[in-house]
Amino acid sequence: MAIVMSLEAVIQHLRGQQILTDLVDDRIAAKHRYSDGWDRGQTSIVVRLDLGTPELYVEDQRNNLEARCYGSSMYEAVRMANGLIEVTRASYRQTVDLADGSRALLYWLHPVSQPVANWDPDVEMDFASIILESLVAETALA
Amino acid sequence: MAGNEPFDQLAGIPLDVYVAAVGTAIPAVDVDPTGAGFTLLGPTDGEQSLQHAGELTYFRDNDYLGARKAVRSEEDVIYTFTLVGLSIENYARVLDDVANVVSDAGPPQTKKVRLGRGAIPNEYALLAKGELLSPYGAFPAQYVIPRCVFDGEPEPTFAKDGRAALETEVHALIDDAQAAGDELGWLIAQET
Repeated sequence: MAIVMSLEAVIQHLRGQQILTDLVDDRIAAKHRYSDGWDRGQTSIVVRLDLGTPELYVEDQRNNLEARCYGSSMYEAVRMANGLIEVTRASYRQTVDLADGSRALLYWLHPVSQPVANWDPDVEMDFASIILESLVAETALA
Repeated sequence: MAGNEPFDQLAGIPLDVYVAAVGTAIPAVDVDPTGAGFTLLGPTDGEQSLQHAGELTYFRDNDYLGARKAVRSEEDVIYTFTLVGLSIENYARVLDDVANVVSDAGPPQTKKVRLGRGAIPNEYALLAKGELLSPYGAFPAQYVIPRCVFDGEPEPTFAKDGRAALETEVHALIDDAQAAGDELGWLIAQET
């Protein structure tokens, strides 16, 4: 059986949080789409894998993730980041529906850093970066 | 030069822990224990260790500086591991006895286990088996403790960034139903 994609589980979990969709609509993805559907200046959250600690004994995936919260200004970017932090405070033992119809178990999603202010020269937008840690069961739920 | 010597380094081996009632026939090393009355205890995390405890007492006389005789007055076999599969049944086994699990059809449907462990611990037969544990090749081997109790003081800890676990300590007892020399248990490895 294929191992559950932890990045997909986290992104799908975030897309299901109204706190975030009120801020970014459906612009939560693994890569930004500012040259491909998103308008420059629109808020978004881009989540990418960023190392983590391998679980040698238990069939879970423990990942670090960098979440880039883009905004039209640094104020907007930090507002996205705060929304993300608010979501993580309730992100424990959550089931997540995946695109292939299976369900993942997200044990936790919490920040392991505070936001860092930055500027993306490629898209010419401010973003606030937070490192999150996720723990996702490798086996899909029945 | 090719050979099987690297197998005798027992590196990279997780063991699966199985339990059954004392007196359950011990399955052969190449047999799945779950088909022989043993229950897989569940996933474990981290290292597992087996301690051959028991210090020697040395006796000396006036003729020599060195010791003349060594005697081991007591010995123990202690196996430790950390259980992370915390079903109520597993929790009950480590605390005392799975028979202490009480089911209720509800609704809601529930299972309950008491937290007290009682004065007299329940006894188990235990296997710690590695499918590739043999030092002679890619074969299974298993530690067998025919009579033991769950000792220790497990302390599952709940945290936002942690996994609750039961630190488990298994203490062998003498099983005089076994062959002479096997009373505290044995290690058996498939050789070919």
